[in-house]
Amino acid sequence: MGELYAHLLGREHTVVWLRDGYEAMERIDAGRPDLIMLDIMLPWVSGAQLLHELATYRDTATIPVILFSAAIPDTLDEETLRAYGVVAALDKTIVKPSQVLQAVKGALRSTHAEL
Amino acid sequence: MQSLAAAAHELKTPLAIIAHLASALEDESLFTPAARRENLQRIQLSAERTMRMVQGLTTSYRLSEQQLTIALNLQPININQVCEEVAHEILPFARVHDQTLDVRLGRRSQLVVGDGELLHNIIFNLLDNALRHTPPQTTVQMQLRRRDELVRVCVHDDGPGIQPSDMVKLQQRLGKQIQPMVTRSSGSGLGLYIAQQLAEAMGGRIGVGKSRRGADFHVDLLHSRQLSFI
Repeated sequence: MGELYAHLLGREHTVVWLRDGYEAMERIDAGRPDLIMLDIMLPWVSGAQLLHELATYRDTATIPVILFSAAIPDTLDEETLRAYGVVAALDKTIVKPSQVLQAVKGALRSTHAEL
Repeated sequence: MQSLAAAAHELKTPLAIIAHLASALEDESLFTPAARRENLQRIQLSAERTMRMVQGLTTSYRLSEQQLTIALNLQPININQVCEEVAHEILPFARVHDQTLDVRLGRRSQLVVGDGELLHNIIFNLLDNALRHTPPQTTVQMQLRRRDELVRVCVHDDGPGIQPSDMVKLQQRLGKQIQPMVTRSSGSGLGLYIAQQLAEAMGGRIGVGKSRRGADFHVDLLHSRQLSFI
């Protein structure tokens, strides 16, 4: 799935696709991305742990996050998600590629509008 | 209930991949012809993987309900041949993800007591498990070893290893519970659970070994004393 979206998004953006949460943390430390698309089920450091880590530090707390997972818990409320910088939660099993690309565009547009 | 939830989660991922790829492929302008062929192959591989998991789940369920025990077709099986067939079947998965399969079975054929189809499923689950948790440009190695009355098929990968806390739980619970692992949490451990159920039905066992790097999983099978003219 990551390879597909790296290809689709790579036509207009610079995409860095990482396979585990630990690698993601290291990469984010090395250079602030404009947007993070995040799965919840990741090896080593889970998506939830990574979200918490990002929210802890001022320079990463404002990076918008799109949750993109087959394991989005039903119990997560919008307020909690927004507090963690999540701008959209997409269920992989339902959403279509066109909707994913639209969500990415929307999130980046909002980020640039704020700057 | 835990099994059902784990099965649902593990099936969702390859099915979601199929849905997303098929949807994206509707727009011909998005991919070169070579990329289209590669993505169509990915769809096929995901479908085959899902089918195999459903088959494994069904067999595992029937075993747990003791419906299959009598119907098992136990006979001497050339395990070298089974390993080669599975390696051949799973090679496209490895290639698509830029991984290498290193198969070392030895020159001598080994006979084990088993059901051909179940053995195929077990070896497939071990290799599939290794390939799914291994980064690109790494190698998954499969080896065959005779140890007294057992024949061991060992699969080693260079992916994230297993944390000591998970190792202890795995060794205690493999086959009794589905055991996801912190370092391999992109799966629920369902494949290993199924493999253990199938192995035990034939008097065998799945095990996990310590490794400096990556992970070692193996299946021990009963060596057949029947003479072979292979």
